[in-house]
Amino acid sequence: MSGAEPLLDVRGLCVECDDPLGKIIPVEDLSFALAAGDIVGLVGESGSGKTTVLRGLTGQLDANCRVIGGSVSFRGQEVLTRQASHLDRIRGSEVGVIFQNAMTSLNPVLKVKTQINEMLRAHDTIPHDQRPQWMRQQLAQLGFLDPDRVLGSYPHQLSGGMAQRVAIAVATCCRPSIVFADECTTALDVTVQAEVVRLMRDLAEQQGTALLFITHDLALVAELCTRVIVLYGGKVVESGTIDQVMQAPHHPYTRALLDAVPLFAERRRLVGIAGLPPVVREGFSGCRFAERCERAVAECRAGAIPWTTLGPGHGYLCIRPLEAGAF
Amino acid sequence: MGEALSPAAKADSAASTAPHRRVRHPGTVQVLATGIPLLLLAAAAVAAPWLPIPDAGAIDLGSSLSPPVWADGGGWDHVLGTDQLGRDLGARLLWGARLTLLIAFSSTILGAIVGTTLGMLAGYVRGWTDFAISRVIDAQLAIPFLLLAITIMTARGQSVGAIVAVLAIIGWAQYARVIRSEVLTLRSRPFILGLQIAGASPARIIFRHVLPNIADTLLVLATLQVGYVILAESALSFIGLGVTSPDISWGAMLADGRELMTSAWWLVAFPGLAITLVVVLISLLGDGLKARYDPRAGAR
Repeated sequence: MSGAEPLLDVRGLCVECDDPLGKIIPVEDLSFALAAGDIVGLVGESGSGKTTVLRGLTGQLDANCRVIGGSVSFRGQEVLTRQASHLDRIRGSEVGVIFQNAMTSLNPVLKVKTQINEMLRAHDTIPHDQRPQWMRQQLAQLGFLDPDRVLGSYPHQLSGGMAQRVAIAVATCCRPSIVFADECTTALDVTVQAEVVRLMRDLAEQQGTALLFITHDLALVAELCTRVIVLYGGKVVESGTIDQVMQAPHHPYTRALLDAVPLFAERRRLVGIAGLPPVVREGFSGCRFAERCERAVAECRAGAIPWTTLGPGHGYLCIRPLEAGAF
Repeated sequence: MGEALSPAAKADSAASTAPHRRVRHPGTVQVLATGIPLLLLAAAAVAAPWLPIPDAGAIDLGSSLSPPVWADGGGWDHVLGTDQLGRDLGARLLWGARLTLLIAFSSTILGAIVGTTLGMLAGYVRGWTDFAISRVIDAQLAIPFLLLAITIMTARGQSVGAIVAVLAIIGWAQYARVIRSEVLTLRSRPFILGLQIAGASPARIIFRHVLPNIADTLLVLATLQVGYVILAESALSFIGLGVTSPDISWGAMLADGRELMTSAWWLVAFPGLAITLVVVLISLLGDGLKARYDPRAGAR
């Protein structure tokens, strides 16, 4: 992280959801900061609260969920307590979201042209008469050879990779300063994935867009991101730069995630993590990973686990951490 | 993006030619085959006063109950025969089509507008709005059709306006219920979420993005509803609550002819056939339109 003022500063974000069996805490005490040009990976398996984080940050939680604590400030301004209208303005022009499945993130019955135009229209960044030209430029930048044809197409007439690039165009056409990418490469094959990753990196490097890359693919994070946040059961269990976390993971969960990445060169057995992430209810205490952790001892389940800080934005949440370099 | 083209970029030149290939859209034939007869019927009904047909109200007791031209005793004067007062059945069918179609279309459209708006509102806004609208839908669906019709007709008098209102009131809940559930699934789709995050107004999202997505459902519902409404109007007229003499509708003609059904079959056969034919044509037209104009249809 540079010394510059972060674009987005999230501190202690807590989300609570009503459930027939009592309250669930899908996200607890989440803190991170995004500065211009940062690419941060938010990693965790299914059910670890990644998408809830996204919804909480953009004010789109389901009706039975709410933010119960913490602060989210954007360019130094608190946005969680703002009125909806103000939030809309910030969201629209400053935040773009790219979703997992491009086919469902585009409206199936409207032409690409119409959909990008809707975004431009939602916040008058570009004058009306310049929009067609602008849209063509945008698509050309995203590697389309024939922007006009793509603009006149419906989503179903595009291939998966094209649709994902169009979704990127829709999300970024207003030059947002922050882009949230939610599993946006998961449904793509590797060649297209590589292309999308390249586009994302261009976005960050050339336009200074801050990118929050939500995924479960550690290999992708290692390739694309500068920093990584590992989420488990709605809590950050480890964070740091790519090198810090990948080279010397401290939390057993991070270690287990790394072991679950197939590496053909090493010819080792792929190690899975048995079980599923817990559903965290009110009053839960102790380490959330304890049930699945082979290093767990009685203390792990006994009470709150303190966060160990190793440096700015670098630390872990474990009382029996792995030794650095202990492979 | 010059020379180093990715595989994905290369693919789009091939894939994006697809929309420009000349292909016959599915459903075109069906739309024409059902739409043209319906249009002709509607045009003939509208033009009935100026067509060279016998006067539908002219009573001629001398030629009462004459059978259609191809049956024994029939003549070219009255191609489809006459009723008990000697009025030309063909002319009456055409005049009947005016009111029948007018009532069917206006009440369907009225019901569709009210039902769709409320259904989209309930499905999109959720919360108390949804609760309130859903309970009204439940209540509406629980009220028996005939009871409602009798109440309104006695209170407001038997007029075409009242009939349209009754049929629209009966129809809207059906739309609202189906549209609400469609919108419920649509609103959680990422593209709607994306628009919300981008700050598009709810009204814009509902009418610009949700409505086109439910258009096919709406079309199918409306065509089914037109058929249902024609039948309901016939039923109302049949029991004497609908169109009354001297106005003519197909249902009223059926009602007039039922006592003579065994001796003069044509009195009920032709209005019955007309109703059946129109209902079937409209249903098929709805299917055809869906296949022809749904942009997603080409992907299947």
